[in-house]
Amino acid sequence: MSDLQGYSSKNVFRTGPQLPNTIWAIGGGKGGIGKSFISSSLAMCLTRMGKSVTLVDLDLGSANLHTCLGIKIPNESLSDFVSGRVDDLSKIAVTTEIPGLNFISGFNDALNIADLDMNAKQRLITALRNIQTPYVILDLGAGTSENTLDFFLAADQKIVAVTPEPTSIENAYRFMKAAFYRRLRQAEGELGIQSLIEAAMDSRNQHGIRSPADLIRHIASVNPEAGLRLQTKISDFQLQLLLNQVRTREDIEIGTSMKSVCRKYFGIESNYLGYIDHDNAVWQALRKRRPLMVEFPYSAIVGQFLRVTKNLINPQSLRAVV
Amino acid sequence: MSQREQTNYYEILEITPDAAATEIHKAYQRARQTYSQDNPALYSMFSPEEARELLRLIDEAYSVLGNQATRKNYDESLGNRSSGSPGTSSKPIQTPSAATSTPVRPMEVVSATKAQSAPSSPMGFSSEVSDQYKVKRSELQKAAATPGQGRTSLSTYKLDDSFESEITNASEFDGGFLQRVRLYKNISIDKMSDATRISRPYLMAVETNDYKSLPAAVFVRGFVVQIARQLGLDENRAATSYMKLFKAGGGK
Repeated sequence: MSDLQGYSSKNVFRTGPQLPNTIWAIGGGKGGIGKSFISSSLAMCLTRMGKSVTLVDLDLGSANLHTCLGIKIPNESLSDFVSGRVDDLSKIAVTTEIPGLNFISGFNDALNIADLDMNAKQRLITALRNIQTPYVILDLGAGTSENTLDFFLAADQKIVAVTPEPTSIENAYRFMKAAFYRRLRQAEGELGIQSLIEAAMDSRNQHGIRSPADLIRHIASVNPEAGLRLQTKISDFQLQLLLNQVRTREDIEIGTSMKSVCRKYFGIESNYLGYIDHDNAVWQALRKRRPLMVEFPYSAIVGQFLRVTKNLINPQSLRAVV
Repeated sequence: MSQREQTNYYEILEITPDAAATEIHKAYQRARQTYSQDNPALYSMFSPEEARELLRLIDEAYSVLGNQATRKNYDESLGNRSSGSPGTSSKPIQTPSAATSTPVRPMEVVSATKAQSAPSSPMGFSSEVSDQYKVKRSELQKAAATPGQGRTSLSTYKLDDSFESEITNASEFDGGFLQRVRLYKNISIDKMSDATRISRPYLMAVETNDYKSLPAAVFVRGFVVQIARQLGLDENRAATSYMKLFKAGGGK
């Protein structure tokens, strides 16, 4: 069996003073589009670049990220942290045989993402922020539950995975809309402009409001100061689009089109990170329960993941690519 | 006034105001592809009607920004507006879907003679002008039945045997000839623009043989085919002849 099934004792957590980490979250609404595969592959690309990473399986209820990594189900998982049995995420993180990669499992049949109450969620987000590896990657589950959206919004890089199929595209947009309105709701609470937004939404037909971009413009016209503060507040809602399972040249262009659609609909810039080809190597590696990066380290698809990872690390190169 | 899609032509094509001509052209092609009906990336975000309106707006933006002269006028209008109202760098326009009030349209800036025309249709033509083009079917039928009168899908006109003969025997279809045929057949340039979806500046550039102001050859050929079709000319002959002159005249 796999030589990755055991765990090394090498600890990749930083020691010394607390340093901020960078959180990447991978969402996308639809199940089966490769979120876990993408999460694990991005994490391994980071380790290849010499960065330490903690990979967190937040697909509570149907966690299986450990399978993508080719390791056994860890004895401890997030449910131990949520229940209070463990007070530090580093205690439930396991190190893998991939140098620099830590893993926190979400595997527990009893725990579902919807079961997290507000306090547990906030405590978990704070703990994720305090993880002492430079990068933390969150593998989110399917759907648009509030908790999933809150973890997505808490991330520094909000990656939306999508495949070129209409069902995936539809769900990706649904996910983006849900996340955007969740962010808007957070912002309106912080800025105290609930009444302004409610009034606008009540008479949206009258004002021609049909998209978030229209809503923000309307608020800016009614109350320029509030509009400016709102725009500033939601400016961190910058999505990173990643197209998976691409088969044709036309498929590649879907990412560019979605970027344009997001701009016209939300009125906010998103980035087309890049695309990952549909490749038989993926299921071959998965069937063997070995990570793609280990099984086929020199495949073209690994090169695509490395390029996407570089784009995420260095926004300057992102602008040059897209 | 509706807030929907108040933006300028550069934002519609998603380019910066200092974009080079090639960038504008590429952005236009990309935008056309993005908002075409069969693009799955539109699915569930924009209805077919909204996508059509966006396409019209994109065409309109390109008709202005794709031509150096009209772009210069437009840029000047943006500059004037931004200097008049601090904090705004661009002049807002309104999408067709929100044309419930009187929008300030860039085409009005480009054409001073149209500056006073009032509420515009989605393509930038005033409703008055559009109404002017509406010819009642019964009138057309009546005209077609009248001896000595010819008819196209857009107009009726008085037949001139000598000019008809010249058209039949024509071997060179330059811009001037196309213009003469259009005027002979009583088709205004606005009407031609409406029917072919080719912007007025491009139609005028074709008719004045202003090859430098026209886009790449493949597009110009398409323009000439469209125009010839409306004029009832042999499309292939007209396009082949015009393209020879276009290439010889230094077209792109």
